[in-house]
Amino acid sequence: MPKTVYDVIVIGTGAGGGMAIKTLCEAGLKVCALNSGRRINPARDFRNHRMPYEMKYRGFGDPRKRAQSYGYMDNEYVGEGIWEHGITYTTAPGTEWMWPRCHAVGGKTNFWGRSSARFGDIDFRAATLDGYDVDWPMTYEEIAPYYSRVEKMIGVASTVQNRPSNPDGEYLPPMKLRCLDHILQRGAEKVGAPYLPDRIAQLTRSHNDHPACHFCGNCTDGCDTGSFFSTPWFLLPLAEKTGNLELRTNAVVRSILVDEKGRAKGRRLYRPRHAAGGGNLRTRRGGGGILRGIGKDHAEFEVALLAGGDRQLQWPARAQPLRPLVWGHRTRVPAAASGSAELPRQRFRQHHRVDAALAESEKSSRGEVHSRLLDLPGGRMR
Amino acid sequence: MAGQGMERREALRVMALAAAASQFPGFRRWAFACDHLADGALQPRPAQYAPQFFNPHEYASLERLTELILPSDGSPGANEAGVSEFVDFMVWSDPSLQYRFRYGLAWLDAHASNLHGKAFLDSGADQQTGILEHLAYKDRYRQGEEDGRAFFNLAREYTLMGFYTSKVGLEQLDFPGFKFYAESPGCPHGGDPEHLHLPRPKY
Repeated sequence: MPKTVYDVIVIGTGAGGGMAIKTLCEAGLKVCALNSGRRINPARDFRNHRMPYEMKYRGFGDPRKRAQSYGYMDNEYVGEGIWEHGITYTTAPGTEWMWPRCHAVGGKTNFWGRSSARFGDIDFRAATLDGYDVDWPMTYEEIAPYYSRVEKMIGVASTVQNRPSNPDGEYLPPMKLRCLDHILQRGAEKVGAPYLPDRIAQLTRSHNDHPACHFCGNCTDGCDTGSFFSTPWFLLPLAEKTGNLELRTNAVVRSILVDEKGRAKGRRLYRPRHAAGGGNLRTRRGGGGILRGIGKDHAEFEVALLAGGDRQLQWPARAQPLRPLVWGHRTRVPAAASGSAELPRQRFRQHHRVDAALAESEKSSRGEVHSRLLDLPGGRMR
Repeated sequence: MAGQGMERREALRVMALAAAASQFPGFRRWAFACDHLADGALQPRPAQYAPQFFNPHEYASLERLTELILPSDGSPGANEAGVSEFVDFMVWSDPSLQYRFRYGLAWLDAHASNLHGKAFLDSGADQQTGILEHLAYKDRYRQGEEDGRAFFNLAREYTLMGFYTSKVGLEQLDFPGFKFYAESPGCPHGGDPEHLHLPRPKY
């Protein structure tokens, strides 16, 4: 099995992964993207323009599979194998909490709610204002240009509203108010509440070569014209155009190899389990590492981050069983098994400047970008 | 649009798509939207439907029952929409429905033979309607018919489901969905933003 060395391996192709892929590819880095599911074929998998009688169960879905459906996003109007079922997580007794995961390329950007408001100054300084927790390590003014950059890239429709708590950005024309909106707006006026268009990543006119929305109203079943932001429609074409992306589908990442100090082990990037006859991998059924791979049609990968420096990994060095996923645990990243769990504030600041560093270095050499990247703490955005 | 043939509606839809697509730079992508039509093409209805779940007597009773719920009086009804085929297919696909439907149809037969000495299917049209009226309406409730009422509710639900998801049924409904707009459709009642002076809906 020949080894390929990439500059960066990105695990997952959702909102964060997709943006990383696009940005890094455009910066000239060789990127390997690993995604647990397959690619979506919009013509076959997004069936939101079909009439009910064009589907086997008239849109109600296979009754025998209805129990495991996540609901409105996971139905007969979306192809098979897009949503992941049989996830190994547990909930606290007596609770019903679902964790719908889309394992197709693009993840839940294929089905997201598209609401794209900016944080305001009061969000970044919340601790100063209300005394809880700590302030963000950057100000709104610092991050505003990046908001603008993303808004211009993905296309967000709204109006200028002059509300500092929810700052205005660079917007496409808003959607018009409909009957219900007018009625609610009048009511809201009477009680002194503003009733305004949301900031919504939906193209009210064609934008960056993406066609305008046709207002069919089936966004939660996926957009077959790519008229709202999603990784497969907006980011992957740009990344693939650079020739720097290798996207591997049906590739479930089981663990990241690190040494006993919690550092990336070295240059071995991945090893397909089946092709290599098992190697040093063990199958974990019903358990799980940090990320786990189960399923006969999935190749399993071990991934070692390519790290030349003394970068500290924020992932645990050893696989941990998944915690019960009740609300509140979901967003908690397992504490680092070795190394510091808390990021020095200075480094956190730096992390958010990666975009700027990359923008600057588009002309500069690869090595420089790389070294800047390796400087950054990873994996811990909470 | 209720009276229009489907061919014309399809043609209008494709024309609207093409017109909209020509305005957009990403024309290639719009081809995906059209592609749905080819991929999800209708299967031609076989001349003779072979029930998947029900036996011939049950199926005939079911067909009669759906016909009584949605008769073809001047406009297409359950028969034209092939509702009994849909119900048979759904019951076949859904184990949780199978007992309820089978038991319900048997209840109906037993009830009919108690009252009229014949199976439901063999009773006269008036007798059939008479039986169902007591199951369907609250003010015609008779004690001891609870099982029949539960079954009738279920059958009615699936009949309506089958009808209004069929081509024929959606035409009857003048279904407002699946329309495309070149720009976001706003409220058309500019002079009456609180919508206080609109005629009340008929229903």
